[in-house]
Amino acid sequence: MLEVIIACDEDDQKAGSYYLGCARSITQLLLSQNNQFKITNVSKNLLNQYYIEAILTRLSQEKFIFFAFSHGKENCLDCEGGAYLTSSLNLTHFNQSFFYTFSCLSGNHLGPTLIDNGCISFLGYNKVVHHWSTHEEVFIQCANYGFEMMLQGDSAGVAKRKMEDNYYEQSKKFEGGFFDLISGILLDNRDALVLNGDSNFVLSNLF
Amino acid sequence: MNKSSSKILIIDDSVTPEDYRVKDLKFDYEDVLVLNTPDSAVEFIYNNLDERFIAVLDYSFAKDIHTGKYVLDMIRDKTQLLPVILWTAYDDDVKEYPEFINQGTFAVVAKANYDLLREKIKEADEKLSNSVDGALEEWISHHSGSDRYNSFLVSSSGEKLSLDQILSEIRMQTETGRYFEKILIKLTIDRLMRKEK
Repeated sequence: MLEVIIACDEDDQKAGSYYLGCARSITQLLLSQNNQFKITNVSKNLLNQYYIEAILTRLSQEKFIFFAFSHGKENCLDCEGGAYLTSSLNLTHFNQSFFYTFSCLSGNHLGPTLIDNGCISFLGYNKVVHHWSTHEEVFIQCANYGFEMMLQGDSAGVAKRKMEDNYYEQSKKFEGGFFDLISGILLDNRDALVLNGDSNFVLSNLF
Repeated sequence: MNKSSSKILIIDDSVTPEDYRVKDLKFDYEDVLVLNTPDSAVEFIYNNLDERFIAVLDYSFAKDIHTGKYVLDMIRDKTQLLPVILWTAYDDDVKEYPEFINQGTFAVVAKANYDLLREKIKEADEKLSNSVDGALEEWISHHSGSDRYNSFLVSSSGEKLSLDQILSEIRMQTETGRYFEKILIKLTIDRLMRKEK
């Protein structure tokens, strides 16, 4: 079984329900794959750099997937308790891993730093990204669509392109009044997508 | 006919609230306010940047060192969205016409021509209605229910804004406000290109 870590800031007062929705959606996708994945959820009080370091140390030498649904900055992922994953951590633990995230800005510096430390591929965002509170479902679907495509065999590069297409297709369903805001936000999230590392990477490379 | 939701600011030291033009404009606009000094006008506008105004700005203030150019500079320091109509008397010596144009003055109207002033105010009001903040304000005003008060834009950097707050951000031309203008303009371009295909 392939190790999977899902870091989720479900307690965040503003975006917690959305992050939890993303994590649950990813979990359902993983569980639908006939016991191929062993999932470790990291949330609430465990979402801190010490616990993350401990998990990564345990996984040393193993291949794994890391999902992160939380706030982000250019060089870290963070929550109310502070940064739980920063470029100052021992990121060599991410050697031979795949990193998938919905978080602001982390694709700018954290992503490339992970790649420099051996992470095979990083799919995330390089700008501030948003969602609309009364329409979380469409944003969750869009955020996880790339991984859904990778489960079907697509490479990271193809999955990113399909994510962009999916953001576009979903945006067309919202038109008029404040729905234009939702449409515009979906397109803006699409334009912030970034893939660092190997675009030819496929999930089967980890098995 | 419904009144426009725009408020008119008449910034002039010789106009009073009893002026016939003020009373006349009140038939068509939400409110008409008279501010008699440059400093009081700037203070008022700075404290109400999130509201929908059209400014009618006199050039000369007899008892003040400042001219209307000062007021325009101060407004433009905070926002490009507030339409400013320069209202000049025949003997005003306006040296800074190029600067007024560069600062986006909406129109220049002689004080003797009230009909033209009404026409330009109406044009400015229509422009506001067709702007991003004007369109959003109109939508918000028709939605008093859960969409307006219980739905929020949430960023993964920790920001959470209601529709009314988004409108304020646009009017105050904050970074977030400019973000919304940008995404809506991009969306409009995208839709136009889709139609072309």
